[in-house]
Amino acid sequence: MTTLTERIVTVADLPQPPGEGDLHSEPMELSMGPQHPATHGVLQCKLILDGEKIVRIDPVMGYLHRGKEKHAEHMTYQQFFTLTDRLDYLQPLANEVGWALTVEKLAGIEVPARAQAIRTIICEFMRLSAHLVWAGIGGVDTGAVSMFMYAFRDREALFDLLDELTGLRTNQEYLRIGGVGTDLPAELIVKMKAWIADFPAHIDQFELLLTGNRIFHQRMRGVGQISAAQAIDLGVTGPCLRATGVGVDLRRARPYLLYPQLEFDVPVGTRGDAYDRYLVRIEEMRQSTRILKQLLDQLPAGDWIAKDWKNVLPPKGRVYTSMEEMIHQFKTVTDWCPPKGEVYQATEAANGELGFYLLSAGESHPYRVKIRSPSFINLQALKPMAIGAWFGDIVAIIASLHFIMGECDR
Amino acid sequence: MSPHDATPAGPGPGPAPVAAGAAPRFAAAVANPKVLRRELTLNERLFVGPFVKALWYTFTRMFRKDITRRYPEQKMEVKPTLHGVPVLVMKEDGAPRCVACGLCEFVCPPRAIDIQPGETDRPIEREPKTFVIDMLRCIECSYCEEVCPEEAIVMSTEYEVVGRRREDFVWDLKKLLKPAQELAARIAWVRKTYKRWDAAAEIAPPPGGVFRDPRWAGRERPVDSH
Repeated sequence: MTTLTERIVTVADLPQPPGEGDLHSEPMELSMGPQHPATHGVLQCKLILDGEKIVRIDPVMGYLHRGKEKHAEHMTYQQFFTLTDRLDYLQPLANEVGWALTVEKLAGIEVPARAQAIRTIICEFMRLSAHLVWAGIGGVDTGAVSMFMYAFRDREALFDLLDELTGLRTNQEYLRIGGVGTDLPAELIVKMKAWIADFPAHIDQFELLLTGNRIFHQRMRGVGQISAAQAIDLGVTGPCLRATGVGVDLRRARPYLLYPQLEFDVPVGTRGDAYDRYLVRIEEMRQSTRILKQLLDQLPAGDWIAKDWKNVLPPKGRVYTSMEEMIHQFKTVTDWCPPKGEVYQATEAANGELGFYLLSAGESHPYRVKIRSPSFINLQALKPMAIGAWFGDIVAIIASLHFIMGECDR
Repeated sequence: MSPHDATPAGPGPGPAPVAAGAAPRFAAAVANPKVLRRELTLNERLFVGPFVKALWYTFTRMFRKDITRRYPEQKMEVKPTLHGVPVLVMKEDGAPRCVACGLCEFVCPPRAIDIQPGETDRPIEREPKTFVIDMLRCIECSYCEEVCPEEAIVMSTEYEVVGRRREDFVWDLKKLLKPAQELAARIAWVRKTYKRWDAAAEIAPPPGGVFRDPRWAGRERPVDSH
């Protein structure tokens, strides 16, 4: 693992090309990205090829760096939700849940059961949304272009539901400290149930197009294989870790929200290649629909935001008419300060362990925020996966790892 | 027939072996079903069968109802939950409800709002001299609407903001002020939603849209004479 820290490799550092009569050629440097469509955003891969074999790969990150962690030091806790949305932009609400749980853990706010259930629901919808994009883009990367259309058809219908709930298609800014922004109306629950009832049949359609497809098999099987020990050494989490056979899922290992009460399986793979990562994600989509069914069937009644006068904005009707609540409103917005302390809260996002480390000095702004982004750490597995592989496989490896550069560069 | 039909539906068969090195950091091992990896059948290896099947699936989609919309001829259905761009609510006399407290200016995450407060001779003395929202910065998060103590700024249903120059997107009072009737659906939604847990706090504001503490009825400050 010592080679992981080396960044700059030139052709001169490589073993000299073999002599005459050998099929090896001169090593060639090739830059892939940052505008390459298969690098999923703005990742640049500096490849050194020996013929069609990859000898070295150096991912260059930071093209999408926006300094979110530093920005957090100048924003109130509520305002930072708008930036967490833009971390992994395929699952904005799941990032918001991670930040909300972190702040609530620090401030010791109790969230009502209904708000927790709504949060669990949107977390699972976001997992589906992220996996659907992965299925669509992964299909395109491996040559199944029609997959993109079918996956985005379902994702669009899913976004219509969230649009109705939150008012925005993506980057919803829906969560509040102590609960959620609005209630989940009964007519929307009916629509969500209808969507979930249809969805397992759609997963079968995806599998019809991919799982039994010979081209897809040839592109994915045995490609980008890593062992469980390697994955753990690199800190890989999420579906990429579970594909190697390690059944670690934070929804089970360190439960949060309503996950301890829910019945679901954590699928694991056997070999840890790109095909296993595909199978694990497809099975996770099925498990997510299973979780959503349970939640929507027995959604607890009650408040959707904590009845906490010190931490949550007061009821609006009283703000209009009463001076005390008016002062509460101003103080909560401008000068809401959690206690001093530090917390770490991790949630199982679609790509793995999304953690927020928060250091508070008791002010209305965080003193320091560190985001443990799963994409950034999963990306480190690109090197052991790609070295020795064929040049064409790198696209399938990147597709199966599915890192989001917005989250990776932060 | 999906290959995952073979996956056990309930908890997996007994505690799964945890890979070496995984145990210390995490809690107890849980039952994890393995996803089924299968070899291709002869039919699938010959490729023609699945190829025709997938093409047939795509072919049948052609006769389904369109799921796309022919924008801009067909617009999307506008619901009161929709976050369009924020606008200011106009009172009946044409003045804004806004009292220039600056709370929306403070809470705005992208700093899109700029307010210069001023004084007037009306019973409610404060009003914004200038109120500018830069729609290129606005992310339509609705935080301004949520914190406003006067129900003066709400999200409209306008989501198509176009212009040729940057100045076209910097909206001033003239562009922002909308009559309350136009925004009735959203204002009703705001009242319903932001009363939160407090079902008793039903409020019926006076027709002019001015909220007053009932205990102060009849004791409003007289119009300044200077």
